[in-house]
Amino acid sequence: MKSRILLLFCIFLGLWGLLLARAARLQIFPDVRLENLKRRQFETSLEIHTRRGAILDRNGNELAASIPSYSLFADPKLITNTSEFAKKLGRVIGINPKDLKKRIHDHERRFVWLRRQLPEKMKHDVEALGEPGLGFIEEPKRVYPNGSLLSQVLGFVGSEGNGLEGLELQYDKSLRGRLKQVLLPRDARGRPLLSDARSLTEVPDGSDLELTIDHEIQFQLERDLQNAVEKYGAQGAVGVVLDAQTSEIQAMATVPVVDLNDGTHYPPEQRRNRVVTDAFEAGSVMKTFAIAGALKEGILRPSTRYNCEGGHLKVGDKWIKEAEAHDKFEWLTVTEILAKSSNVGAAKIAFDLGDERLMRALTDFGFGSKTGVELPGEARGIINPLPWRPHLLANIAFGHGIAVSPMQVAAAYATIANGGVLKKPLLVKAIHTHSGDQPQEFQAEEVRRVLTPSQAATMRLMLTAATEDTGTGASARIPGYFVAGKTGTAEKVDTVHGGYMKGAYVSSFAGFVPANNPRYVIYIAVDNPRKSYYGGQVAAPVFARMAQYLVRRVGLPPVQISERNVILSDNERERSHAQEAALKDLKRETENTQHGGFPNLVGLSLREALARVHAEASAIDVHGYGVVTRTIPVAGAALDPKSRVTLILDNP
Amino acid sequence: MSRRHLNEILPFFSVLILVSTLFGLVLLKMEVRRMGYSILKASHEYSKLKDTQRMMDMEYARLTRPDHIRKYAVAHFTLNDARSGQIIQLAGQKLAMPQ
Repeated sequence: MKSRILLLFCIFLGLWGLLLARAARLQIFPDVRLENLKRRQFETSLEIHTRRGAILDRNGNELAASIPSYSLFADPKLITNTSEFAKKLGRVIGINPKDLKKRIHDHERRFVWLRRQLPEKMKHDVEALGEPGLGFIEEPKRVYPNGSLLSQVLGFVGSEGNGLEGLELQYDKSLRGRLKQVLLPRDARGRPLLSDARSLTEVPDGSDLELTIDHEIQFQLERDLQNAVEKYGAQGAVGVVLDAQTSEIQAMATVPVVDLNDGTHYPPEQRRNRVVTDAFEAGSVMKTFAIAGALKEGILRPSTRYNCEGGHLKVGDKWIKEAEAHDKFEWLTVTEILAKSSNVGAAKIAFDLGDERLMRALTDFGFGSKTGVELPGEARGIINPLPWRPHLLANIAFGHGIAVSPMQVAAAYATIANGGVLKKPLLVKAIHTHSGDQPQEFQAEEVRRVLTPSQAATMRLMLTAATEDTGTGASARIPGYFVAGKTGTAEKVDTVHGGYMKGAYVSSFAGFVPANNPRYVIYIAVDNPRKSYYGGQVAAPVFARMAQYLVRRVGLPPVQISERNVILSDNERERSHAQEAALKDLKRETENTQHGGFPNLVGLSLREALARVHAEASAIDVHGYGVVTRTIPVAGAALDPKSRVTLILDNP
Repeated sequence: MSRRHLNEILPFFSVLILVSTLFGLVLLKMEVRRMGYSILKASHEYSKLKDTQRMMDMEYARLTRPDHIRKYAVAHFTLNDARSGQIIQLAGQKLAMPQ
């Protein structure tokens, strides 16, 4: 009996021992399968969608931002009456019931997208239908509150929220938030048990981009370009506004624009930011750099004269001509060559400079290489390799035979405006993270010094000549301010058949304002205007409107004040009239005296009258008192030094 | 109270302290759970409010976009673009210039 009890005890002890050993093994040695099983039973996983960062202008205005939206899907297997379902749902989400029915026709499929990115209100309407087999997935939606403003620069995102063009593509990594997955213990009903709310609220949202763009200047630029396109029946237009001192891009536009909220529906050529992606022959705006190169090399001074050969110059077997047949310039100074935009003059300067030095001048100004602006697809432009034939050398001097991008031209003019330093145009001012770190701030980088400050000042002065009455860019002038700049009219290259397109031009104007202390560099180019095509007629007025807007906006006081453009107060106007009358009298008297005539003494006192005539007459007779009312001889009459003069006075 | 009486009730106190401690632990655990649910609810509300704020920011940006303001000014205040000569810029020294 005792031995049986002992046996049973041993058996049970052995079994318990095995059980304990198994338990110890499970606890001490890891088992992946069991770990996963435990995780499934006690833990829940939450997916938190993070927000794509916003894009802001320099004043914090939102240009692009993400808001929550709800994408609707269906499980066709759970839908019983497809016709009724499609009819009811189609009405709410705005899809044709027939199309909807086609999508949910296959009952073997368990997941079909019905419509992406619905607003919250529509989600509630769908839920109110109470239809089985429908579900929502929360997705962020990219919204561009300004519609088409800055469209080609911002770019847009695809349906999966990834950047496809422009800044959205270039800064996709910074903007994109990461999908955050949080593992939490759960209760018996599957609800997560939270002990730290930060795991849900502290999400790695994408960083915000702060641009150098000012959305009001941008709007004005796009509007002015659009007006020019409509007025001249042009194919398109581009424009860029840079801060003259820092090269920060304040506005950059390509017209026609695209609506970013529907970006993928526009053709690729319209979505291109042509300010940076397109290189074209810019025409006479490039004369500035040939002259700047020659000035730098000490070949010329602003007053150096060139014989412009009456408007025709034979180079090899080809003729270089002026833009206008009636321009038969003979001897012009360098300043006049720039002001009147003489092709022959520019060609002669290029011959003096030579191809190597002209090439060096152009590359120093940044042509032939990317400006480094933070946008995708930037064009380098095209400069033919050396050596250049004389005809090509002449052509390059006046902006043909060389392809440049609008951004390169603007950056090069900014070099002259800021005192001679080429700077990398800046578009992104700062990147703000949401982790509380210091924002990453950017400054315009200096690339190289191209001109000395005095050479740049000389160039600025020469460029103001182009906007004087006799210059080609007179219509770029704005009252009260000195404007410096250069017009450009280039034949458009036929990219299909080669050569130039007949009757197609690119009209442009590049310059800065105010010329004495530049604040803004503006470049405007209008593509293939139909009704007029000279840069001075098409692009210069757009420049003037933009420049006028900018100086008013920043409150720059006018510096070029003359009697013609000043409004006087009433008192000052009266005083001015009196001064004018006195000046007229004085002028008349001076003329009389200069022509040897007797001066007009009417209205003068006797003392004043005698002071005027005593040296000119041998004898003077005076009759009466008061002021001179009449004289013999009369004013203006020839005066013989030996003759007598009679002054008749009376009370006024 | 004599030492004998004290010895008699000591086991009772021990059991009482043990039971109270266990009870307290359970209550604490329950409080943690309850607060966990409150936190979850609050964090949902926080996200919702953040979304609402984003939507309102968006609406504000839409309403203050330059072309909208311009259209509104033209339609409701009968304003229009200034023409050349209508803008008078003060130039200092009692001078003003038409632009």
